[in-house]
Amino acid sequence: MASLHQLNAQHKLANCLKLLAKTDSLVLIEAAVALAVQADFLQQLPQGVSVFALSSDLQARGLLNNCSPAIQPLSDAEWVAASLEADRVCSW
Amino acid sequence: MTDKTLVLNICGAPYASLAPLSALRFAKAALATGHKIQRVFFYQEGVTLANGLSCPPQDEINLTKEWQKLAAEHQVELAVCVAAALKRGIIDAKEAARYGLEQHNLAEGFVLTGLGQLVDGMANADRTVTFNS
Repeated sequence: MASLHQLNAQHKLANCLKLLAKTDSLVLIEAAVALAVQADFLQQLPQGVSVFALSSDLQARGLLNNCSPAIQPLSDAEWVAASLEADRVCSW
Repeated sequence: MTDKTLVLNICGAPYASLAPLSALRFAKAALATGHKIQRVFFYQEGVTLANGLSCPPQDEINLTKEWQKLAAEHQVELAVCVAAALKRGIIDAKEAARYGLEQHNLAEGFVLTGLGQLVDGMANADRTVTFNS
Protein backbone atom coordinates (compact mmCIF):
# COMPACT_ATOMS: atom_id res chain seq x y z
CA MET A 1 0.00 0.00 0.00
CA ALA A 2 2.22 2.82 -1.27
CA SER A 3 1.46 6.41 -0.44
CA LEU A 4 2.37 9.49 -2.41
CA HIS A 5 3.52 12.22 -0.05
CA GLN A 6 2.93 15.72 -1.39
CA LEU A 7 5.22 18.23 0.33
CA ASN A 8 4.73 21.98 -0.21
CA ALA A 9 7.15 23.52 2.32
CA GLN A 10 10.66 22.65 3.48
CA HIS A 11 9.84 22.98 7.19
CA LYS A 12 7.29 20.14 6.91
CA LEU A 13 9.94 17.61 5.84
CA ALA A 14 10.79 16.47 9.39
CA ASN A 15 7.21 15.39 10.05
CA CYS A 16 6.87 13.82 6.61
CA LEU A 17 10.02 11.72 7.19
CA LYS A 18 8.38 10.05 10.19
CA LEU A 19 5.77 8.44 7.94
CA LEU A 20 7.74 8.07 4.70
CA ALA A 21 8.16 4.36 3.90
CA LYS A 22 10.70 3.02 1.43
CA THR A 23 7.93 1.95 -0.96
CA ASP A 24 6.38 5.44 -0.96
CA SER A 25 6.85 8.35 -3.35
CA LEU A 26 7.59 11.96 -2.48
CA VAL A 27 6.48 14.85 -4.69
CA LEU A 28 7.95 18.28 -4.01
CA ILE A 29 5.58 21.11 -4.94
CA GLU A 30 5.49 24.89 -4.44
CA ALA A 31 8.31 26.20 -2.19
CA ALA A 32 9.42 22.66 -1.23
CA VAL A 33 11.07 22.27 -4.67
CA ALA A 34 14.01 24.15 -3.13
CA LEU A 35 14.90 20.83 -1.44
CA ALA A 36 15.72 19.44 -4.90
CA VAL A 37 18.93 21.46 -5.04
CA GLN A 38 20.08 20.82 -1.47
CA ALA A 39 23.01 18.44 -1.21
CA ASP A 40 21.96 16.60 1.95
CA PHE A 41 18.25 16.26 1.15
CA LEU A 42 18.29 12.85 -0.53
CA GLN A 43 20.46 11.33 2.22
CA GLN A 44 17.65 11.96 4.73
CA LEU A 45 15.18 9.75 2.84
CA PRO A 46 14.73 5.99 3.27
CA GLN A 47 16.40 4.07 0.43
CA GLY A 48 13.95 3.19 -2.32
CA VAL A 49 11.74 6.27 -2.09
CA SER A 50 10.96 7.73 -5.54
CA VAL A 51 11.41 11.50 -5.49
CA PHE A 52 9.74 13.91 -7.90
CA ALA A 53 9.47 17.69 -8.17
CA LEU A 54 6.97 19.71 -10.18
CA SER A 55 8.64 21.11 -13.30
CA SER A 56 6.59 24.31 -13.31
CA ASP A 57 7.43 25.05 -9.67
CA LEU A 58 11.14 24.35 -10.32
CA GLN A 59 11.05 26.58 -13.39
CA ALA A 60 9.26 29.41 -11.53
CA ARG A 61 12.15 29.47 -9.07
CA GLY A 62 14.95 29.08 -11.60
CA LEU A 63 15.87 25.63 -10.28
CA LEU A 64 14.97 23.36 -13.19
CA ASN A 65 18.57 23.05 -14.42
CA ASN A 66 20.03 22.63 -10.92
CA CYS A 67 17.80 19.77 -9.82
CA SER A 68 19.58 16.61 -8.63
CA PRO A 69 19.58 13.88 -11.32
CA ALA A 70 18.03 11.55 -8.73
CA ILE A 71 14.92 13.74 -8.64
CA GLN A 72 12.54 13.39 -11.56
CA PRO A 73 10.80 16.57 -12.77
CA LEU A 74 7.06 16.04 -13.25
CA SER A 75 4.70 17.77 -15.65
CA ASP A 76 1.25 18.60 -14.28
CA ALA A 77 -0.22 15.64 -16.20
CA GLU A 78 2.42 13.31 -14.70
CA TRP A 79 1.58 14.72 -11.25
CA VAL A 80 -2.05 13.71 -11.74
CA ALA A 81 -1.05 10.25 -12.98
CA ALA A 82 1.30 9.70 -10.01
CA SER A 83 -1.48 10.75 -7.61
CA LEU A 84 -3.80 8.15 -9.13
CA GLU A 85 -1.21 5.39 -9.29
CA ALA A 86 -0.48 5.57 -5.56
CA ASP A 87 -2.90 3.99 -3.10
CA ARG A 88 -3.43 7.36 -1.43
CA VAL A 89 -2.10 10.91 -1.42
CA CYS A 90 -0.86 12.35 1.86
CA SER A 91 -0.57 16.14 1.64
CA TRP A 92 1.68 17.87 4.15
CA MET B 1 -5.12 5.38 -16.68
CA THR B 2 -8.21 7.29 -17.73
CA ASP B 3 -11.61 8.24 -16.48
CA LYS B 4 -10.95 8.39 -12.75
CA THR B 5 -12.97 10.56 -10.40
CA LEU B 6 -11.20 13.04 -8.16
CA VAL B 7 -12.14 15.23 -5.23
CA LEU B 8 -9.93 18.22 -4.41
CA ASN B 9 -9.82 19.65 -0.89
CA ILE B 10 -8.40 23.18 -0.80
CA CYS B 11 -7.39 24.35 2.68
CA GLY B 12 -5.07 27.26 1.84
CA ALA B 13 -6.19 30.83 1.13
CA PRO B 14 -5.67 32.53 -2.22
CA TYR B 15 -2.77 35.03 -2.32
CA ALA B 16 -1.61 34.00 1.20
CA SER B 17 -0.80 30.49 -0.04
CA LEU B 18 -0.38 28.69 -3.36
CA ALA B 19 -3.02 26.06 -2.57
CA PRO B 20 -5.82 27.35 -4.87
CA LEU B 21 -3.35 27.92 -7.73
CA SER B 22 -1.68 24.50 -7.40
CA ALA B 23 -5.10 22.85 -7.19
CA LEU B 24 -6.23 24.74 -10.29
CA ARG B 25 -3.20 23.47 -12.24
CA PHE B 26 -3.86 19.94 -10.96
CA ALA B 27 -7.54 20.16 -11.92
CA LYS B 28 -6.79 21.44 -15.42
CA ALA B 29 -4.26 18.66 -15.99
CA ALA B 30 -6.68 16.03 -14.66
CA LEU B 31 -9.51 17.22 -16.92
CA ALA B 32 -7.15 17.45 -19.92
CA THR B 33 -6.10 13.81 -19.40
CA GLY B 34 -9.66 12.45 -19.32
CA HIS B 35 -10.42 12.40 -15.60
CA LYS B 36 -13.42 13.90 -13.82
CA ILE B 37 -13.38 16.34 -10.92
CA GLN B 38 -16.46 15.39 -8.93
CA ARG B 39 -16.21 18.14 -6.36
CA VAL B 40 -13.86 20.82 -5.09
CA PHE B 41 -14.25 21.37 -1.38
CA PHE B 42 -13.03 24.64 0.11
CA TYR B 43 -12.15 24.28 3.77
CA GLN B 44 -10.36 26.26 6.49
CA GLU B 45 -8.73 29.41 4.98
CA GLY B 46 -9.51 28.05 1.51
CA VAL B 47 -13.09 29.32 1.84
CA THR B 48 -11.91 32.90 1.23
CA LEU B 49 -11.59 32.00 -2.46
CA ALA B 50 -15.40 32.18 -2.55
CA ASN B 51 -15.45 35.88 -1.64
CA GLY B 52 -17.21 37.53 -4.56
CA LEU B 53 -15.94 40.96 -3.54
CA SER B 54 -12.22 40.23 -3.94
CA CYS B 55 -10.69 42.46 -6.63
CA PRO B 56 -7.09 41.54 -7.41
CA PRO B 57 -5.16 43.87 -9.76
CA GLN B 58 -6.07 43.34 -13.42
CA ASP B 59 -2.55 42.16 -14.30
CA GLU B 60 -2.70 39.40 -11.67
CA ILE B 61 -4.56 36.12 -11.84
CA ASN B 62 -8.12 36.27 -10.45
CA LEU B 63 -8.32 32.85 -8.81
CA THR B 64 -12.02 33.12 -7.95
CA LYS B 65 -12.87 33.77 -11.61
CA GLU B 66 -10.51 31.02 -12.80
CA TRP B 67 -12.29 28.47 -10.59
CA GLN B 68 -15.72 29.77 -11.68
CA LYS B 69 -14.71 29.38 -15.32
CA LEU B 70 -13.35 25.87 -14.84
CA ALA B 71 -16.44 24.81 -12.88
CA ALA B 72 -18.81 26.17 -15.52
CA GLU B 73 -16.93 24.56 -18.41
CA HIS B 74 -16.62 21.13 -16.80
CA GLN B 75 -19.63 20.93 -14.44
CA VAL B 76 -17.46 20.87 -11.32
CA GLU B 77 -19.19 21.42 -7.98
CA LEU B 78 -17.59 24.20 -5.89
CA ALA B 79 -18.55 23.32 -2.30
CA VAL B 80 -17.64 25.67 0.54
CA CYS B 81 -17.62 24.61 4.19
CA VAL B 82 -20.40 26.67 5.75
CA ALA B 83 -18.93 26.84 9.27
CA ALA B 84 -15.47 27.86 8.00
CA ALA B 85 -17.07 30.41 5.64
CA LEU B 86 -19.43 32.09 8.11
CA LYS B 87 -16.72 32.77 10.66
CA ARG B 88 -14.58 34.38 7.95
CA GLY B 89 -17.38 36.61 6.61
CA ILE B 90 -18.19 34.56 3.52
CA ILE B 91 -21.98 34.40 3.43
CA ASP B 92 -24.82 33.71 0.99
CA ALA B 93 -28.27 35.30 0.84
CA LYS B 94 -29.91 32.54 2.88
CA GLU B 95 -27.41 32.73 5.73
CA ALA B 96 -27.48 36.56 5.61
CA ALA B 97 -31.24 36.43 6.18
CA ARG B 98 -30.80 33.94 9.01
CA TYR B 99 -28.26 36.16 10.79
CA GLY B 100 -30.08 39.43 10.05
CA LEU B 101 -27.33 40.80 7.81
CA GLU B 102 -28.01 43.19 4.94
CA GLN B 103 -25.18 42.04 2.67
CA HIS B 104 -23.94 38.77 1.29
CA ASN B 105 -20.83 38.05 -0.77
CA LEU B 106 -20.65 34.38 -1.81
CA ALA B 107 -19.32 34.36 -5.36
CA GLU B 108 -21.53 32.93 -8.11
CA GLY B 109 -21.07 29.22 -8.74
CA PHE B 110 -20.04 28.43 -5.14
CA VAL B 111 -22.38 26.66 -2.69
CA LEU B 112 -22.23 26.73 1.11
CA THR B 113 -22.42 23.17 2.35
CA GLY B 114 -21.49 20.91 5.24
CA LEU B 115 -18.34 18.92 5.95
CA GLY B 116 -20.37 15.83 5.10
CA GLN B 117 -19.94 16.71 1.43
CA LEU B 118 -16.17 16.28 1.80
CA VAL B 119 -16.64 12.91 3.49
CA ASP B 120 -19.13 11.88 0.79
CA GLY B 121 -16.61 12.85 -1.87
CA MET B 122 -13.79 10.97 -0.17
CA ALA B 123 -15.99 7.87 0.08
CA ASN B 124 -17.11 7.91 -3.55
CA ALA B 125 -14.19 9.32 -5.57
CA ASP B 126 -11.20 7.31 -6.74
CA ARG B 127 -8.83 9.78 -5.12
CA THR B 128 -8.97 12.80 -2.81
CA VAL B 129 -6.10 15.26 -2.99
CA THR B 130 -5.67 17.98 -0.36
CA PHE B 131 -3.90 21.29 -0.99
CA ASN B 132 -2.67 22.83 2.26
CA SER B 133 -1.42 26.31 3.04
